[in-house]
Amino acid sequence: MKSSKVNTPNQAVLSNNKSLGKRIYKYRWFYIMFLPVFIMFIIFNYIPMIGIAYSFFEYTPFKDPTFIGLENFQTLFSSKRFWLSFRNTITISLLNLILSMIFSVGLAIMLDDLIGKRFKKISQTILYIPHFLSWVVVASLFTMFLSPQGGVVNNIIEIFGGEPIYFLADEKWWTPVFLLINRWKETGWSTIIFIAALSGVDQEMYEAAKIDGATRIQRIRNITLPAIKGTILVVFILNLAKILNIFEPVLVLYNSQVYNVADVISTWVYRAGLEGGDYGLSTAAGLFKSVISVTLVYITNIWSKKVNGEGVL
Amino acid sequence: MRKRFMGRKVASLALVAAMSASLVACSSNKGTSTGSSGSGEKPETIKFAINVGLKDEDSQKWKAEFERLTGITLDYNGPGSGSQYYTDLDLAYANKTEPDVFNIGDGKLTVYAGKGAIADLTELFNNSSLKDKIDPEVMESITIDGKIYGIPFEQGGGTITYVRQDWLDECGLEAPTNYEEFINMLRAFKEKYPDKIPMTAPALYKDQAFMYLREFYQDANPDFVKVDGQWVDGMSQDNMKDALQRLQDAYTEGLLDLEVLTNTTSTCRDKWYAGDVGVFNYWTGTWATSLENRLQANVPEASVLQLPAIEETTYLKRVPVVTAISSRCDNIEGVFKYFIEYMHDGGEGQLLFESGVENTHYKKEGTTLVQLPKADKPEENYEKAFISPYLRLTELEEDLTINYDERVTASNELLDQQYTQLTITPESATYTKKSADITVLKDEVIGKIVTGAMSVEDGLAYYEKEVAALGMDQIIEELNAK
Repeated sequence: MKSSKVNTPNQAVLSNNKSLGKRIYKYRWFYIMFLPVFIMFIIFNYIPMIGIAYSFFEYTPFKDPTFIGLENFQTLFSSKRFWLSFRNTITISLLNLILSMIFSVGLAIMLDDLIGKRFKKISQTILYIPHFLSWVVVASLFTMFLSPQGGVVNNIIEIFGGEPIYFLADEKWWTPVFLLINRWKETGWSTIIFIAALSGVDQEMYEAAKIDGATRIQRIRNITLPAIKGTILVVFILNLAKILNIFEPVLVLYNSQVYNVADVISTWVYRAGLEGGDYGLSTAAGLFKSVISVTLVYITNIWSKKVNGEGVL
Repeated sequence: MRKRFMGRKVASLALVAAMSASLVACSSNKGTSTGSSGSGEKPETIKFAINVGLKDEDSQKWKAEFERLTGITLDYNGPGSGSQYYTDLDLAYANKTEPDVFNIGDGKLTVYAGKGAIADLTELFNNSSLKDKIDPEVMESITIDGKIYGIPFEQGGGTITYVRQDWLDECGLEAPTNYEEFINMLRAFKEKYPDKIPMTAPALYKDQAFMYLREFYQDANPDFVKVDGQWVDGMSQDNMKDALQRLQDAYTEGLLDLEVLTNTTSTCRDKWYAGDVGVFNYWTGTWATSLENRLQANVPEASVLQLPAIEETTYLKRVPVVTAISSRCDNIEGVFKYFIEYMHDGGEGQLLFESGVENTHYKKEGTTLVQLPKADKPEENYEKAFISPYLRLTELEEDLTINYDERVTASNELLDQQYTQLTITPESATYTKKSADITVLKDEVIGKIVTGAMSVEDGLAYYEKEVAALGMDQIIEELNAK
């Protein structure tokens, strides 16, 4: 009979004491496999960061960059439109993030509760489909549905005696409609991680709770949510880092009448920076977004540590 | 066991090799060089970029023919796509890999000229054969502070108003000749066809949408305009108040498409083709046949009237797109002579740029030029290589006629009889920086006024306050400085 070799904690410590060279040699195949990814990250993620320097330069396509200190930031911060777009970015993105967490966790729990395997798979597939439609197609579909001239939604409103509403050109309606369209498109796809987390919850706890007379709501509140709390937190923080990047859905759904509530930093930069060929200004706005994103993630992580005793960073 | 380990090693090395190769492949995708040399001499190579024209295999056949006829190697890979074209052009300049010669439109021409990115062609033009051939009015429309930075590619083209003749007949109306009759026609359409749209338009201001609403804007223009020899902001002129009031009244009354704020040219065309629209101002030329034919595919009894401009206004011809030469081109004179002059030479060059390759894209039958069916879509004919023959700037020396559908000819003639040529606005450094915000402001204010969210007076007062904060006085000063 062969004896199986198991590393004890002491052995692990001993192996850590080996020289770096020996350890690298031991895991050389892993390092070799990691190498292309590492090189790719250096080339496509780290070297381009040098471009941050252009936020301190006047940089148009037609002449060599000229150092101008903080002038791009002054232009940025003195623009009323920029601050309007900053406010809109935070508002739209935070609302979108919060709704995303609520809807996707809720939907994941409902899907997890489905008994019929076949029905569950069909439901999941149907829910995932909107994610694969491009934003241009989604915008066209909803522009038709919400049209004040013969759109399905306004037809229903008119049947009940109401006046047609120009949803996409009305400042009051644009944000709720935008959030609704986002949920329609992305909720299904966002459930994937939570469904995976739910599959790891010990089923015996549910059985024990049932025997103790716990209702479904009580089981969700006291077993399900605490069990996937860590996953919810990780997803929340990861999504928080991306909230300032919102661009394409706004670009295809906004128009001149809703700039006050719809214009976000990326669309402002697109118009003022890229279309105007002012790359220095665009880079300054990009750097500002990155600083805010990192700050938000850092604050959320501190808050997470205080409330839950654990963070993800 | 060892064999399996070796297998893993081989697999991991293969994976590393494949990924490294893909990285190398990505990084080795360099652009082509311009390669022109020698002042005024025939260039060996010309790098060319354009955003219209023959695509895919057809563009390669065209390129081969250009090289055969001229002996110049052309660095050209087909037309760039839509708005991406200008982003690519900007990036090419930033990388110092820009084309030697390229097409550039209205707004961008001023910026490129102001930044010194394109060559001043004034002297070359004045000493060339083109000076006597091209209409001075067209040249004037693209002249910036007395200088020519590009040669018009073709005439600017313009729009006219198309009206459903069958709707007019059913309402018992004649074609309107003035604004009052025009509005009454829209009212009659609304009453007779309550579920349809009397008139549609793609937006109210941006992308020169005011061209599509001539009956309402009339002599007003929200862009910069010249009054008594001085540049002024069109939004601050008295005629703008009247124009906005007319638009607001029409929108409130339901005579103008309720979705005008979110429309695009594409959605407007679709509504027209579906038979849902009574009046639509759109481009002349081959669009005149497309608009009627595709409408009749859905509504066989429909017919279309090309409406002469009403008494109060004329139609507009936009500022022509020009062909410009990079100021960093080694052989500006050579490129001008062997490329730009060649494309308007009245002979083989012009035919090549207009109709493409003989016996591939067109054939000659006596004195008639017959456009051949498209290789990938035989039910349609090639209409042009790059330059629309009916918008050509210089006449062909050879007696060759294209038998266009009479609606194409009629629409062009109608425009030629009643048009105002738009002219380019000079460069202002402040405007270049603030143009995005000012465009948004104009778009927003016009939209709010037209939809009734603001009165004309309140809206224009708000505009004046906001635009002053964006430096409009400085812009006007800069526009009139030269």
